[in-house]
Amino acid sequence: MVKIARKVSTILLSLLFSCVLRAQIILPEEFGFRRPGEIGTIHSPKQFGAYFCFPGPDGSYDTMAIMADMYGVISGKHSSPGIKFTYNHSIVVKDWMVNGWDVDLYAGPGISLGYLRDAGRTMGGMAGLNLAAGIKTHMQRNVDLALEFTSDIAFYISENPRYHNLQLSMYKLGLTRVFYPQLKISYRL
Amino acid sequence: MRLLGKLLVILSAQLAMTLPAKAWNGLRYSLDWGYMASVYQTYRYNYIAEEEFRVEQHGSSFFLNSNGLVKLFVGTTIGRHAELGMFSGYEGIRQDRRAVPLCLRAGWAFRGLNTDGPMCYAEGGAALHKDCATSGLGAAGLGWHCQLDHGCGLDFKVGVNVCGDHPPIKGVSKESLRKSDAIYSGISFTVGLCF
Repeated sequence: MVKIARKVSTILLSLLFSCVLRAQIILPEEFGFRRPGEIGTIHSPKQFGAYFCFPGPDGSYDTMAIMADMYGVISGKHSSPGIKFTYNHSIVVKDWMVNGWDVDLYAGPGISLGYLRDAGRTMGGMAGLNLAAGIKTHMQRNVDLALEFTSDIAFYISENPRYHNLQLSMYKLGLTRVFYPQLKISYRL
Repeated sequence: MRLLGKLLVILSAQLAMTLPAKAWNGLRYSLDWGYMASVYQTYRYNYIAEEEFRVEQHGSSFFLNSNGLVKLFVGTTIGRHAELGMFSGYEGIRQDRRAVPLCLRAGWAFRGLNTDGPMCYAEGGAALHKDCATSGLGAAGLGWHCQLDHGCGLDFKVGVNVCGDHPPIKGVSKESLRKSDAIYSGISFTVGLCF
C-alpha cells in the first residue's frame, strides 16, 4: 500500500510539475504566461532537485521546483527519498555590486506539496506554505549562483503503523531544517 | 599509517621549498560534493568464533552501494595549470561505513586554471574512522573546469576512489577479532564550486 502510494504521488507530482511548466512554455504571453528565464539544480543536505525560474515584469520571479527529499537517506536510515514540489514567488529586496558581481537579496512565499518523511513518522503527504530567502549572484557566463534558506509551514498526514489510522500534524522538518543551506546553480536562457 | 602521514608531509614540504616564490599565485579553495557508487571490495577477516576455533575469511566481490560525499579543499595554485592543497570532509564508503578523509590533492588544468577546459586530479591520504584504526584513501580522475566569472568556477569530476577500512564483524567481539581488513573501490561523480 505504501509502495503504491509512493508511486502514485511521484507520478502525480511529476505530472503537475510538467503540466505547469508546459502551460508556461506553450501558451502565449498574451494570456499572462511567461517563458522560463533560468533552469537550474538545487543542492542541499535536505533535498536535491531541479527548478525553472520565470522572470516577472517588476523584477520579481517565480520559481517552480521538483526535488527529492533526502531526510534519512544521507544518514543511511532509509534507502528511498521522498518527492516534493514547490512554487515560490520571490521579490528582489535589494541588489548591489560586490567586487564586480551583481548580487541580489531576495525573499518570498510560495506553496509546497510532497510525499515524504517527517521526523519519526512513516511516509506521508505534506501540503502548506513555503518561504524562501537567499542571495543570488549573477555571473558573466549566463550562470547564476544562489545561496538560499527555505522553510515549509505545512500539514503532514500519514498512517500510524500501530493503529492503522491516519494522523494529521504539523510538518516538523519544515521548521527544524530551516538553517540547512541550499545552493542553486542555474543557467540563464 | 603514521609513517605514510609523515612521508606526505615531508614530500609536500620538499615540493614547497623547490619551487620559486613567484610560482605560488595565491590561495585556492573549493567545496566539492557528489555521489559515489561503491562497486568492489576485497576483504580479509581473522577472528575466534564462539566455538573457540579460528576463522579465516578472504575474498573479493562486486556489489553496488550508493554513498554521498562532501569535501572542503584549501590549497594554492602553482603556475597557470597546477593546484596543490589539502582537503577534508565526510564521505560514505560502504553501507553503514563512513570516513573522514584527510588528504593531499594535486590537480592539473590542461588549458589553465582560469579557463574552461579538461582537468585531472589525484588525491591521497588518510581516512579517519569513528570505530576503528585509520586507513588509507586515494582517488584519481578527470574532469571539466567551467570558469563562471573572475575568481569563481565549477568543476565537474569523475573519478575512481579506493578506501581502506577495518570493519567490525557482526557477532564477533573486539577481543575475538584478530584482523579485519577491507578495501572498497568505487566511482565518484562530483561537482565543485571553486574560488
